[in-house]
Amino acid sequence: MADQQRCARCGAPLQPHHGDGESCPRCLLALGLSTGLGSRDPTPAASPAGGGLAGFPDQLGELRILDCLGVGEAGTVYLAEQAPPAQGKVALKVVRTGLDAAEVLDRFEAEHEALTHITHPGIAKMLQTGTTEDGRAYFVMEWIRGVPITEYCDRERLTTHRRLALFVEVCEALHRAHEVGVVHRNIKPSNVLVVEEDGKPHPKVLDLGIARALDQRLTAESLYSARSLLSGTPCYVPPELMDPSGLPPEADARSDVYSLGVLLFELLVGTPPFDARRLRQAGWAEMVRVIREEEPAPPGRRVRGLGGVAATEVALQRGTEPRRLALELQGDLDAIVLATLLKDPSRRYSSVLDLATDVRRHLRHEPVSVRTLGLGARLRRFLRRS
Amino acid sequence: MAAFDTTNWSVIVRAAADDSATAREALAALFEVYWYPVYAMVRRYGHNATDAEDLAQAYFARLIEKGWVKEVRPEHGRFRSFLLVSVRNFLHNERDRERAVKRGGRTRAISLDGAAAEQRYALEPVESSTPETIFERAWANEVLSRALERLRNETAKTEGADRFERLKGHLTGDEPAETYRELAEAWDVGESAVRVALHRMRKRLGTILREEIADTVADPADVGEELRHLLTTVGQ
Repeated sequence: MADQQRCARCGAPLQPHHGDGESCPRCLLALGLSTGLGSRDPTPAASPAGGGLAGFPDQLGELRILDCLGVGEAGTVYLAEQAPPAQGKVALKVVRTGLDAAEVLDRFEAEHEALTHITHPGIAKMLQTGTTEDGRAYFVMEWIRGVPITEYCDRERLTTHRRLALFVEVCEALHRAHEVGVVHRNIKPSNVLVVEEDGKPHPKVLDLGIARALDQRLTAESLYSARSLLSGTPCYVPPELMDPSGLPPEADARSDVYSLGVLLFELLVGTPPFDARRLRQAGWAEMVRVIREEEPAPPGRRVRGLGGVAATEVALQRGTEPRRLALELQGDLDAIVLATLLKDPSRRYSSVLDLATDVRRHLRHEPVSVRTLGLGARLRRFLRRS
Repeated sequence: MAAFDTTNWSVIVRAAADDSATAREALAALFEVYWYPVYAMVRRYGHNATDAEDLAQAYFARLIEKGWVKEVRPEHGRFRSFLLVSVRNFLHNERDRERAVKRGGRTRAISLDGAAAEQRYALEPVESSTPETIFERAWANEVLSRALERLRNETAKTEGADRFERLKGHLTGDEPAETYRELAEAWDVGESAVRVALHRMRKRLGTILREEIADTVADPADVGEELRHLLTTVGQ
């Protein structure tokens, strides 16, 4: 795989007969996604420098803007090129209008200060911040040429075991940030990208500290917007941050544990614990109720409930058959996932490290902390290990 | 294709319950569009070119005879998933090629271009793919090439054939600025006009892609999700 030709833009492998002048099929198909977003998007894409054509600016300070990578609920992300001598491509996130740039950057400063003290291969570097001429905050970040972790795992048809190993790496990166007091608050597949280095996959966590800087209030307005619904974000929001009675409390590490649990659920089963379409259609109040009150089905049961075509498809993407997949999930993995998704933060894993440790134990066939094991199960584990 | 509602998967799923002639004809039309991925999967399962074509015909005959479409429930309402799983099952149950042929392989219920399919199959990276990954990737490529073909025809009508041919290589963006200049000179317009034309073409391709995909899912709300799925399968 290492010497395979890849798209210079998205990193997807190209077929051997792919012609030099041809476009990458993945990039072409992705045009359908941005169209879908654009047509229901209430505000046009940000144009930081102004004067850009067709919503597509040319330049921001020293940065030459090459392309629009996506429009999210917080703003627009561009691919840009640094001026010499730095050179190299970077991701530029321009915050949408309506937020005070000075406030955003003030809030980010504390986080950034903490983050500069750590370098972790699993965390995308923040390079620079600033304000556009029209008063919007922007962030310049390391450009990660990767794909969302869920997409990567499905594309590569990774087994449950390999998915878990990648997930542990995500936890380790986040734990490093938690150690210096930075909580992510916006963990979702599009913020955890996987890149291949030397033929091996490595997850990279994006946008650390940004959610807090934007002070993304989890209100009807911000969460129930067309954009966040399309990107499926509400599924990842912890129940304690969806307090309908007023301003939600400050997020802590256990909020990230919850969102990681949703990610783990999706990696294992192919869909988040709560049906995205149902949440989309439910209306704000009902959405809050589901996330705050409904107990999700354990992953194993979810797979069994899929039935025929859908179950076979999910299992195929994990290199197995539906029945075997359900067996793999029931027991430890069900228990681990459910322990991350508990409504009361104080009953969840208290740290991302504890969660990672349990997943690692499961991978080594050792007892996991969230399960009180019967003698039979312990014996089976002991025999398997010895 | 998007203009004809009868070749839409949602229409087929609804009509299949009555087993009407309309449903059968519509199914044949949709199967003809997306039969290459089936062919490629069957080939990768180890059947030769002739058998693969026969098996595809036999599968389709059985699909109609047995009313398998009726098994599709709204929550599994994607033509792609349905075909992938039901063709696999068919092949498992139909190991004996002679039986397949007897059951309808020679009836030629639909028109399939076996020679063209085999030419395409010769380009597939067979060694590194399973039958299922070949199917999925071929499916995504089929959707894409149909969309590009529509875009080519549309652009040719409104702006001349040259426009599409020279811009198609830039649809994904990320091109050096010199190229825009060259094109602007060639068409005797400003560089900004080239960028606007390209931007329009990109947006239009996105819309066409969604229309094509809408024809293969039972619920229009599934288009985005299906598109994301196709993204994961290309370039596997």
